[in-house]
Amino acid sequence: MKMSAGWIKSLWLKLRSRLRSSRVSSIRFIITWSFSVFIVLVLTIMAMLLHDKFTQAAERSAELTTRQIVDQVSYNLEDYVRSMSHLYRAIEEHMLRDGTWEGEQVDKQLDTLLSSREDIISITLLDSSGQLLKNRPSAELKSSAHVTQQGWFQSALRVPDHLSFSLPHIQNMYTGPYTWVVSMSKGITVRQDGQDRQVILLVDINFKQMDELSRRVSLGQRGYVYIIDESAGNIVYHPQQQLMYMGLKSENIEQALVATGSYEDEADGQKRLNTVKSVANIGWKIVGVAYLDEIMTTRQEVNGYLIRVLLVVLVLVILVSLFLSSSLTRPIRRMERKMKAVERGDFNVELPIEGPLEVERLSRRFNLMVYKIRTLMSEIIHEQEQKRRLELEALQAQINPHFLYNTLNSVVRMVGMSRNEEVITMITSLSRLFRISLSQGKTIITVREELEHAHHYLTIQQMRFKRKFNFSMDADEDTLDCLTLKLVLQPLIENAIVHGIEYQMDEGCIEIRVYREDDKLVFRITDNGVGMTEEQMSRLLVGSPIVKSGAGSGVAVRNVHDRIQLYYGEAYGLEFDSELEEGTTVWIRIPIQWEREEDDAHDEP
Amino acid sequence: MMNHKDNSTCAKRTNMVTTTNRTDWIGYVGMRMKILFRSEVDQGGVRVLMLRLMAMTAVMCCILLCMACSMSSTDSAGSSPRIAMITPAGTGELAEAIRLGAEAAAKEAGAELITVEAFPSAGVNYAPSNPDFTAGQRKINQEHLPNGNYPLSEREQAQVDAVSLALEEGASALLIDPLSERALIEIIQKTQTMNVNGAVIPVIVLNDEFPVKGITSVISMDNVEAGRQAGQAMADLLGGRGRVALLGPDPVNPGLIHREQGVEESLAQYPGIHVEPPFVCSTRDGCWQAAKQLLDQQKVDGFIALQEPASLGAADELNRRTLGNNGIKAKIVGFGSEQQQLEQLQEGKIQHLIVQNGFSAGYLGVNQAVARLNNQQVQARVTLETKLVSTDNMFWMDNQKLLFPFVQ
Repeated sequence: MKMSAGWIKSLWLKLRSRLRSSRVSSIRFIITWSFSVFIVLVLTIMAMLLHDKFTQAAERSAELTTRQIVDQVSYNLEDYVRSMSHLYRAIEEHMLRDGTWEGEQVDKQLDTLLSSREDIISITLLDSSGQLLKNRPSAELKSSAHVTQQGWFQSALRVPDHLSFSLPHIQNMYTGPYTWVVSMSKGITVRQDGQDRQVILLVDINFKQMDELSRRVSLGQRGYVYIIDESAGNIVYHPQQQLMYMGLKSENIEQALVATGSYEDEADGQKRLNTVKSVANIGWKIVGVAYLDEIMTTRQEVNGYLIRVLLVVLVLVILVSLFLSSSLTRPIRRMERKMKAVERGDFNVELPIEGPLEVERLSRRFNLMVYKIRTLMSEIIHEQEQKRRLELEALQAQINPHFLYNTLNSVVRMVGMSRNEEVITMITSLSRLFRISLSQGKTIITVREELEHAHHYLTIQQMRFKRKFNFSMDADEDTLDCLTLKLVLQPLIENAIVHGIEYQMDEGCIEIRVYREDDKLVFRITDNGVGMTEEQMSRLLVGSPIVKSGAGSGVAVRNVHDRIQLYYGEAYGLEFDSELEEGTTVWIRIPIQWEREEDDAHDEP
Repeated sequence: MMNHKDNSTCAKRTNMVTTTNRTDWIGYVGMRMKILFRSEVDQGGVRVLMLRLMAMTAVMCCILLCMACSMSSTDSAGSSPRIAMITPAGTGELAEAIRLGAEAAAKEAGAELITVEAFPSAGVNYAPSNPDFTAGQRKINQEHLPNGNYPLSEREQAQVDAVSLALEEGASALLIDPLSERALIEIIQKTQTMNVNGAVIPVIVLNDEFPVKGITSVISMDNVEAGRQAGQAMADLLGGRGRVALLGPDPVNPGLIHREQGVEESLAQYPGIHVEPPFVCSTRDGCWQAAKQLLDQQKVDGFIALQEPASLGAADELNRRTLGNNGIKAKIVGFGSEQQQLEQLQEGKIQHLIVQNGFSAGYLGVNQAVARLNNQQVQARVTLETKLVSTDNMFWMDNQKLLFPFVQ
């Protein structure tokens, strides 16, 4: 599985950032890790169980195979030994049947036997003193061979009438190449001329056949069989005999001698399976050696493999559970975002009703909650507005007692000075003023009425201030029937008089103009008074809208602005422009509204 | 036989995957999954989503398992190195023993051994390690080519050609019993020019001590010690008194020079032993002539033959003399374990042979080569043990295994 490094890297970075961002308590984290841990745990348990089963089975089958192979070798060897024994008996028959081994007949038969089996090296008949009686193929016996000292000779003398097999050894009785042979020998008593005579018949068979039988065996790559002699534990055959001779290799022969069946041992740090089998008739034992790591997948290999698989699965599980958890937590995160928006004061949010069931329910609840909050909020706002409106209306309904008192004082002074005309004008204006400002509790009046109200007020003030100023009023015709909040002009005129003109030396002038500007209705009040600084101007529209009773009519500029905004919205209100020693201009902007037909209730006196 | 590499089912199942780029495939699966998420969310069917996810997981698990499967099956396949063994033609039993040892080691290490024999006349023979085949070759050629019939240069050339052939056969290491320093130098140069891909071809020298640079490891007996053994054995045979002649030293062969040194060192301890000036000879006939001359001129009690032909030549002369008249019996101590020497030893014509274990030379040589190929620690010199074998003990079990290493 070769993934490109970049992919892995990006994956890792993603994973890491995810792990970092997710705290231990997050759903995502919990799902991912519990998932992974659970699956890996299950897999591990499975793996362990399988692993045990598997290795056991593998061991059993390996054992079985080696056993079969060793049995096969053993069988082949037994077979070979049996056939050699038969051959020996045949030779014995032909040679010693009549108590004589002379004669062409015997020679011929022996030669036939010799040529039939190429693994017979030589047939030798000796007497008990080691003198050569006869041999095929005919050859001189080497004196340096010391026949009587050889093992096969001695065992034939020791146990007469028993065919014994020697260990493989080098035949050195005849000239010619030295060959490895197994000697079959037997001490035989023959009757010759009425006398018993002890002779020894030796048949040397080439060891090559047995060597090949054992060498051909394959037990894995490096496995082999070796043969030991059961009586003394001598090595009969070993494929690495030379290595043993050099001391580079050793076999645990003691264990092999006493063992039956199979046993495990260790050589050069490698575990080996030894299988032992005796070969009948010859007193040998075959030991099959198989290296466990070759004939079966070792535990380490299985472990490594399983660990690899586990790792792959773990990565996979983490990925899948990340996907899964993120898909589960996505709606939750979305909810969180919406909630944050609510926190910031945006109540116009709505969660889509989707995702898992629980999330759906939560979304519904949340939406319901937000809706409730919204309605509550609007109720509260409404109430507040009502409250303020009432407050303001209460304020504007109040006639500042100072104004009344001052006006009445002026009237009294005028009466005292018998300026009846003026008195009448004043009183009339005053009564009109009140009538309009009360106007049956209506808050909305026509521009015409508002202008009238302002006119009366200006008239009164003009008288009070002894004609200290002039004023002019000019309204476009199409504005007169528009509706307006009442008492918007008067406070501003008052402002102009009290703050602008009163402290002026030369004659003041107040100009009121009403006109339309796009879809807005504009009242413009211009005076040529002392003017204001920027600072003063900026202070006008802040602060408490409810002003303590001062010398004015009691309705402050701020009040006017607030009322307009309350009624018409944020887009409307006052705007000032002023220069010191030059004068001030105020624009009042309200939307254009027309009087409805049925709402035309004028209370004309 | 359990065979864990048998992943046929696995391989079959992964075939489809392995033909395409795996990373693309994984990306595709990721994409599929993402698409799944998106589309599933719209439908709101979380159950379906989960089921799909699980199915995907299962599929991916399967595929990844198969990948791991195929992964494990491929990484255990390694290539076996080829090690070539080059022996001079007609060196007989010792060469055979060396080959057997090398084969045993190669089998253990999972390497492949090829033997290349150098025959000047018939060119170079490459033969797979088939004992019957090579043995046959050797026998046929030996009949026509008794030792030393060629001018040395021709034989050297044949050996160098054999090395070329071995390298062409893809040998990644050489085991060689060089004929001479010249041949060895040329062989080393050849291997170094062959080091094309940066991989060094180790050269393991057997039975020789030529001081040539570039040899990975030398495996031979300690010739000085062997010489001492021979001298000591001769001194024991003669009871510390007598005249001893050295046969077959070679002033250009470092191995033989060392043997000579060893012999002289050990005999110097016996004032009763007089050492004749050495006779240089390198063939059986030549050494026979030398021995004849020596014996004609004076009484010699013992011959120390430093190489195989020398011991045979001395034994020939002694046989000739004993057949003629029962002359004085001179003792022979020789080196080697060729069949004819062993016959003479059994007959008592040669009293002692210093025998080295050819099998272990081959075995250790291949081990060193494999170690070098695997970048492991290599011994620059491996000393082989020698053994003194006499007429009396040559048929002891252990010695039989040493002297007759193979069944034929």
